[in-house]
Amino acid sequence: MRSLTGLLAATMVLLAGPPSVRAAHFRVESETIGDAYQLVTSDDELVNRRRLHQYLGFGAYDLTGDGSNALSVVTLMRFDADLGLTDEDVARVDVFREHQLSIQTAYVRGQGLFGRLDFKLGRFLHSDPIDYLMMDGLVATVRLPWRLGLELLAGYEADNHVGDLTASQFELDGVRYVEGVHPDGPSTALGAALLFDAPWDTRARIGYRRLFSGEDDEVDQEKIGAALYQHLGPVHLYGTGSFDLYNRLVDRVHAGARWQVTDAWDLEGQYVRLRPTFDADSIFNVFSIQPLNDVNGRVRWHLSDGHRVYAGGMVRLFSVEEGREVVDETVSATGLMAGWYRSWGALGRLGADVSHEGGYGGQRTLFDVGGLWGVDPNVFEVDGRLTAVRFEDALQDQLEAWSFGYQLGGRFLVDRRAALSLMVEHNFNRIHVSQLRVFAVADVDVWFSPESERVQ
Amino acid sequence: MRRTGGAGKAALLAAAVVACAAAATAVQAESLENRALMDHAPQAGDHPPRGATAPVWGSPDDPMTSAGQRARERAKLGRRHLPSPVVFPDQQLPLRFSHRIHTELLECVDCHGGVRSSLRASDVNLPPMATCTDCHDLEEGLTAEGGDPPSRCSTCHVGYQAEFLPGADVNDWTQVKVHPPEVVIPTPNLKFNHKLHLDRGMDCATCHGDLTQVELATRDNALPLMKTCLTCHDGQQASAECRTCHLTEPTGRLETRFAAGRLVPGGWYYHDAHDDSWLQDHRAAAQLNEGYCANCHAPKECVDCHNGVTKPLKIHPNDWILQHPVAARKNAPDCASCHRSQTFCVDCHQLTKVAGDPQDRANVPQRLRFHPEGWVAATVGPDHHRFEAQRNIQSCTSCHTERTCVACHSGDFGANPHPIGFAGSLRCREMARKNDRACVKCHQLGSPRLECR
Repeated sequence: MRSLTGLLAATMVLLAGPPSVRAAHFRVESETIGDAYQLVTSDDELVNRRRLHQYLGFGAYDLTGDGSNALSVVTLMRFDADLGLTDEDVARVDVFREHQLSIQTAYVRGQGLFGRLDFKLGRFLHSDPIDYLMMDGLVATVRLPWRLGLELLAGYEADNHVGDLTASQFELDGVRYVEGVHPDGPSTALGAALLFDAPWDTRARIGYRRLFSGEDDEVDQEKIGAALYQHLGPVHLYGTGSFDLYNRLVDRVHAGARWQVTDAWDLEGQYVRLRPTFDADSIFNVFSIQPLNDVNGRVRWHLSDGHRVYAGGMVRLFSVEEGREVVDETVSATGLMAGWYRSWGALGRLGADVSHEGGYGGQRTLFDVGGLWGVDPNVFEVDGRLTAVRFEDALQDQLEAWSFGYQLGGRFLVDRRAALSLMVEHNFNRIHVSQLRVFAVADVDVWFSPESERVQ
Repeated sequence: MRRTGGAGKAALLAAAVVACAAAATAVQAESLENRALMDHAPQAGDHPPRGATAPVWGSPDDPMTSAGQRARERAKLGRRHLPSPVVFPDQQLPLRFSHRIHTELLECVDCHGGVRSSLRASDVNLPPMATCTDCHDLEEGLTAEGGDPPSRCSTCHVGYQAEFLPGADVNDWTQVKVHPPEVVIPTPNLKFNHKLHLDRGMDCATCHGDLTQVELATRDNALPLMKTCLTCHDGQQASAECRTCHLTEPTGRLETRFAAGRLVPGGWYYHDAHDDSWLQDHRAAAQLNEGYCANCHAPKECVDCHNGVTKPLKIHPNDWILQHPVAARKNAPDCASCHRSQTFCVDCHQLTKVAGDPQDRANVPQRLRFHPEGWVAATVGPDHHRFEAQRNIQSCTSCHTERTCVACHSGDFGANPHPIGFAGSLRCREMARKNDRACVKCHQLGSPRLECR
C-alpha cells in the first residue's frame, strides 16, 4: 500500500508542475448509497442489513492542456459501513470488516503518448481473457507497425489481506485467509500480450500472466489467454479462452457467432466451456474434473430500432475428462427463453422476458416485466419491475416456491450535476411472507473546466 | 420479515406504473409523430410542377416531401440500417424539393457553396432563400402561369399561400404576414469538417450517395452511415479512434446522453449490440479489448457491478437472495464474473448460518440439513457429494473452506480425490514444482506423495 501511495504522490507532484495544467479539467464525483433489508438465518433468526456506501472520486483530465487528453489522473475511493449487525452476527463470520475504506482505482493514464504509447500506472482493474486482476502497478501498450501492439504488465495483486485500503472481489479465489493476513505477502504479477487490431475487421490478442509469491516465488496463477474477433460480412465471430499452465488444462472457452441475416433478423449461437481453477495454493484445484459445456442459440427480430422480440434455447452437458468411476456420465440441463423489448427514447422503455431452465441444479421458471417512464424525460423518471418466479432446487426439497416481487422507484435529476434515486423492492412467497428492501442513492458530479468553445 | 398488509396493493401499484409508462410513452410518441406528419403533409390545391407524376402530387406519398419519404420508410417491415437519430436528431423539412431534378442542371456547390469553407458539423450548409430565387422568380410566381421554373410559394412550401403586409413589396418575401414553417436541421452530435474532406479530394457522393436519384434529401437517404466513414477511418488512412468524430466529455470519453436519446452501439460493425444478450456477451468484448469499452464507460461503471457492494437491480431479478441457490448450482449467470466464492459467498453464508463447521452441524436433523441423504455416505450413490464437486466445485466453495475437504481427503490414506494416474504423472510433478503449498495441506512432509510417487 505504501508503494502505491508513494507512486501516486510522486506522479501528482510531477504532473502538477507544468503551466499547461491550467487548461486541465477537474472532476469531483460522489455517490452515497443506503441499503436496508433483512435476512433470515437457517435458524429462523433475523439479521438486519443496514449498509452505507460512500464513493468519492477525484479526476484531473487533459493535463497536457492541448485537448488530446493524453494524460489524466483518475481516483475512486469507497467507504463501506455495515450497520445494523450485532456483535454476535459479526462473530459468526471468519473475516469481517464492519467499516472499510478502500481505494477502488487510483491511477495515472497516458493515451497516445508519442503517437504509440498507452499506459495506466497505479491501482486499476485489468480485464483480459485470463481473468480479472485488480492490481497496483503498470500496464503499458506500445503500438507497433503492421497493426500490432505489445502489452506489458507488472505489479502486485491488490489483495484484501495485504493492504488496509483494499476491498476487491478479484483476489484469486480458493483460499480463505482467516487470520486476515496473507501468509506469503502480496502476489507479484507479470504479464505480456501481443495484440493485433484492425478495427471493425479483426482483433486478436494472446497473452501470458504469472502471479507468484513467497520466498521461492511459488506460482499462484499462471495462464495463457487468447481472444479473437473476426467480422465476415454479416457475421461477427468471437471467442476467448484460457489455458491454466499450473493445472495444465483449458479452464474456460467462450466462443460464438452472430449472423445479421437481414437488417431486421439476426441469429446468435454460443459455446461456453468451464472447468474452474483456483489459486495454486488451494486444494480445490484437484476436485473439478467434469467441465460444463453449454450451447445456446437465439433468434431476434427487430421490428424497428429499439423494438425487438427474441427467442432462444440452451443445452448443457458435463463431460468426464479424467478417468474416474462415475454413476451418471453426463448430466444435462436445458433452457428456453423469449422476450420483447420496446424503447421510446427518452420517453421510456418497456420489456418482458420469460424463461424456463430445467435439469441439473433444479427448475426455474421466470416471468419478468420491467419499464421506465420519463415523466419529465431525462429529469424525472419512474422505474418499475415485476417478477414472478417458480424455483425448485435439485438438492434441497424445501427450497421450492413461487415468489412474486416488484421494484418501484424513481430518479430525479436535481441539477445537471446532482441526482437522487429511491428504489423499493418487495418480495413475497411462502418461505418469506414479506421481504422489503430499500435503496437510496444520491449522486453528485461537479466539474471544474476552463471556459472553452465546444468544437462540433 | 413481517407480513405487510399493503403487499398486494403495492404490487398492483407497481404493475400500474409499468402499464402507465407504456401507455403514456406510446401516446406521447404517437402524438409527436402525428403532429410532424400534419406539419409536413402536402395540401389539396397545390399544383404539380412540370414533369411530376400527377397521382403523387398532393398525396401523402409524394417523395419530394418528408411526409412522403416517411411513408416510404413505414411501408418497409422491420428495422433498417439507417443513420442514427441520436447522431443526426430528427429534422423538420416542411419543403417540397427534388435533388433529382435540380442535379440535372446544377452542381452541388451551386447551392451548397458554404461547404467549401465549413469547418464544423454545426454549420448549416443549406442554401439561403436568395439562392433559390436566383432561378425561381417570385414575381413570376404570382402570375397565373406561376413562372418557369415554377415559382409559386407553394411550389416549395407545400400548402403555403403568401399574404403580404399592406403596402408591402411583393418581391420581398420577408414582408409577409405569416411565414411558412421553417426548415430545422438540428446540429448533429458529431465532429465534422467539410473543408478538410473536400480538400483531400473527396466528392459529395462519397458520403451523401447518388443524389441524382433522390427527391427530397433526408437523414435516411442522404446522410452517411458510420460504415461510410470507416472505409477511410480504418486506423491507417485516417484515425479509427471513436473520439475523432464523436463528441467527447472532458474525460476524453464519448458523450452518450443527448436530448435525442442515448448513443448505444447497434452491433452493425462490431460484436457490441447492447441488447438482450449483452449481459452475457460483453465479457468477450471486454476481455479482447477493454480499451474499446473505455471509450464510453468510466471505470466506476465496471466497479459498480463487478466489485460492487449492492445488488445491481437491473441484473438479478427480484427476490434474488432466496432463488439464487438454483442459479448458483447451474452457474447461470456465471457467479465468478463478479463474486469470489471464498470471500463474498462464504461471508454471507456464514452470517446467515447457511455455512457452518460440519462438526457443529453433525447433530442437526436431516430435515434441516442443506444436503440430501447420502451426501457423504461411504457408498457412492447418485446424490453423493463427489459429483457436485466434480461438476461445479464453486457451489461447494461458496460455503465450505478447504478445511472441510481436508477433514476426509487428507493424508496418504484419506479418500483420494486425484484422477486415476495422477501420482507419477507429469502434471503432478509440474504442480508440485511450481507450488507445493497446496500439496502439504493434505500430505505430510516426508510423504512419497509429495514427490508424486
